[in-house]
Amino acid sequence: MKEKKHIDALFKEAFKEFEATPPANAWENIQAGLKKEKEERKIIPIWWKLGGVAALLALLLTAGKFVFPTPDTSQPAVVEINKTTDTIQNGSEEMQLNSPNKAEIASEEVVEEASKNDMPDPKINSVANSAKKENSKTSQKSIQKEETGIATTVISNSKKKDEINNAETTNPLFKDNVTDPTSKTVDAIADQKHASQEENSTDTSVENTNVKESIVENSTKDIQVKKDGVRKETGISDQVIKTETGIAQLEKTEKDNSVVNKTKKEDANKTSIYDAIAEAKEIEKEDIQQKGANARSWEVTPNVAPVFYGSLTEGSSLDPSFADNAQSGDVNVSYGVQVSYELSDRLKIRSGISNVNLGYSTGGIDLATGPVGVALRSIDYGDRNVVLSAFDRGELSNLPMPSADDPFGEITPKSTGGNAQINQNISYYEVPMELSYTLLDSKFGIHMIGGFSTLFLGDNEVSVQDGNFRSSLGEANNLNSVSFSTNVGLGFGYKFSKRLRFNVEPMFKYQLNPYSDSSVSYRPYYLGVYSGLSFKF
Amino acid sequence: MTLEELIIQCKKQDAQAQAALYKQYASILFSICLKYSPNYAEAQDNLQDAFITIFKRIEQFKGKGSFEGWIKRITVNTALQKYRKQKLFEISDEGQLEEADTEVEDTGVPLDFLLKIIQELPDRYRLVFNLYVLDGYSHKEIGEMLQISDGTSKSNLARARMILKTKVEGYQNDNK
Repeated sequence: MKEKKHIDALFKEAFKEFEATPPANAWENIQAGLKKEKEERKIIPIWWKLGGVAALLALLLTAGKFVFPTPDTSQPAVVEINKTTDTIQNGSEEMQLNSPNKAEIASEEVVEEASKNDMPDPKINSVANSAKKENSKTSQKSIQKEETGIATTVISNSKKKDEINNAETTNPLFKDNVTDPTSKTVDAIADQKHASQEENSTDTSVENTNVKESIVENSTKDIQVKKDGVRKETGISDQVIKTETGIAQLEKTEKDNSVVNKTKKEDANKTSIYDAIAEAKEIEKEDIQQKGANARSWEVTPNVAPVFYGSLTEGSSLDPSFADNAQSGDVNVSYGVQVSYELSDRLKIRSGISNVNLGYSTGGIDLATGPVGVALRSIDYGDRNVVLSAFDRGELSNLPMPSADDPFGEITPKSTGGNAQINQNISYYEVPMELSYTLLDSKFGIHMIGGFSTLFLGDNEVSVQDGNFRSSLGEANNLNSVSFSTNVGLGFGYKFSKRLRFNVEPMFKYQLNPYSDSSVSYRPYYLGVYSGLSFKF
Repeated sequence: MTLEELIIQCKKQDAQAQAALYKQYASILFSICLKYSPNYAEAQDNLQDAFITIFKRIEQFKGKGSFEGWIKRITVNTALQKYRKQKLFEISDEGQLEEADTEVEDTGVPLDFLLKIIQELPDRYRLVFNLYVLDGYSHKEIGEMLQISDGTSKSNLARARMILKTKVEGYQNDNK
């Protein structure tokens, strides 16, 4: 009979000196794991830097936009009009008398066109300008008609000697014409026509057909300019008629259409004014419609993002004793809706509302139940006397021993295995106010975002966890109910169509005043990669 | 280099110090991993995870208590964590405590056989047996660590002993 032994002892003895050499590749795997861990930690500062750069750029570009506004070429040079076309303006005033309701629109158009033609020296420019600008046939027509408007008003003006004098003093071009006898105007017209023809033929950017028409147009303009001068000088309607016929003849050689137009104008000046008004109105309408098509300036974007919560500094919002403990931000979800409005082609302002859930856990703690007095102060326990709380690892043994006569003073360790975690979960309602500046606007777009958010505190909870065991401690009492964050980010978009775009926006949001207790050194931020579909309308 | 110096260097995440520390403790910790794991591959995973945690959290070691104890605890916790996550603790028939005969003959049973039969135990039996018998934790502590009651821990231990006893006796009979 052999000696019997307790099975525990058998195993204990056998394993007392048990050591086993791990496989050779274990160390390599550990090194790889550590390296990976390091890289993951490094990601945050990189984003931080990128965010800073993006913010700076956004700020500079926004500032630049307001300091150096881009010149808008479509706006008429108002000053020149006023200087050079006093008489014509007077004439348009006359026109207002003729057609009181619509005259204003027409007169503006007339003034604008006239100013182009009356530019003192560079006819070349005016020719080129009008040829380039008025490519469509319809607009050319309207110009011709408007010119007749000028003509008629000038005729009516010619009766008023005072205005004639005005014209003489203000316009150098007219002065030149004054010296020319009326009989030479036709010759001059011919010369000018020739010159303008030459100018136009060198302008390659304009299609041939357009060139031809613009020649007709410009030459008639020039004629009219001359005509104006002549009329104002002489004040004799006969000569005016002569020049008119001269114009008609020249135009006949160039194009039949314009002849028809011209004769029409001569026959019924009044109707042509109304035509011009109607035409101008139509053009305006088209413009508005076109603008309407381009100005899809509102956008709605439902979005969702994984958000990562972290801190720029060491420290703990829960208790200073946790400052050096291992903390890890949780990845949570933010979702919401964003509305943006286009301020300009590149600049958008946007707002919206979203729900953000943030959380982080702190390790290296022990759990114990004990009197409220020794429990975490940052937690609102209600009116309970004995509560479950978390303590920095190793701190439990340092706590004062409870007195025997105080049954509530006893501290009972609950979990001291080293795996306990304390988790804080905060839910905010976020209302951002951000500017987005477009860097690249094609099928694939890039934009920068900068702004701030107002955060309204929703739920918040502090809980502890050890494996499957989980218990809520209560609400944190040091959170501000309203706080702010500064936001920067970079957005990438892909346009499916003019109305639909897919966006991905990594954003960095730094919280400014999350804690009501200023002694909290925890400086939280959160990173989110917001993705969503933008609908333009 | 003394252990203290080594720990200081490891706190600075010095790669050489980490390698030295690994060399010094790898076989001790690997033996723990083997006991707590169902097989060799999982033991290796466990060891790797444990060392990564040790190097990551070494700053938290404040010199209270022995360093070896601290790293052993981390290794055991790493092993336990796995089963917490897997939630494999749904074992039926947890009932009564069996005060059965736990004596076996003291003949030479090789270590690798003993290790094999430990690894073959159902997960929680293995963990409880290891924690109680080989690492000296109380049933109360085990209950906290595994989130089970003291009674369950005791019952699990008794069942683990029975299984092991049967297997040891089987081995002894085969090799007579």
